[in-house]
Amino acid sequence: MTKYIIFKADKGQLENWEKMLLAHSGACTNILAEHYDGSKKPMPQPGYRLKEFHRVEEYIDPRFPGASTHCRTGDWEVTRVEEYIPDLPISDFESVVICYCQYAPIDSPLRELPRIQVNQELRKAEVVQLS
Amino acid sequence: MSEPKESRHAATDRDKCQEMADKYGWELLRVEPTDNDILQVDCVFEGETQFPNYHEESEDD
Repeated sequence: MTKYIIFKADKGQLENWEKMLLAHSGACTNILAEHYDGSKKPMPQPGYRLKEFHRVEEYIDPRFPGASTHCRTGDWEVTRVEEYIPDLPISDFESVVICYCQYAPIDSPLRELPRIQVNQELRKAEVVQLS
Repeated sequence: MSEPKESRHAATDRDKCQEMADKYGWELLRVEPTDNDILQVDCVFEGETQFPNYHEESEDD
């Protein structure tokens, strides 16, 4: 089972809230990120920091030009966590976790991301479609 | 302290990323569009992740 983890900016933490829009609807949002955690590890705790992803022009993979190339430990830090466990016999998620975050900028280096792996079946499908 | 690593897998759509997280017990951090016509998304996972050996998987089926 999977935890659905939502990272939200806590009240008063968004200085540029008018720029935080859901791209498909144009509505304002304070959601910073969503994780789907199928591992058995514990949910995030206060102090956990979101990662921030970047595209550096010289490192762009021509096969995947839209993908990020680098990441860094980000400026949003979890300050409190709530977990909601469904009381339904069958549900998509083991729990829904809400992590409230504060903006706490840090100086962290950019790290190059590993190459994007493509499994054998998808590689074959790509070759067939391109030929 | 060493930085936690990430790993990435291409997929045809965003739901496949979530299916990978469910099936293999991985933590999905992010789904990104790739601008590749076929492998349209990049699934970014926490830590090092690799698909199980395909030969072994087919034997289990």
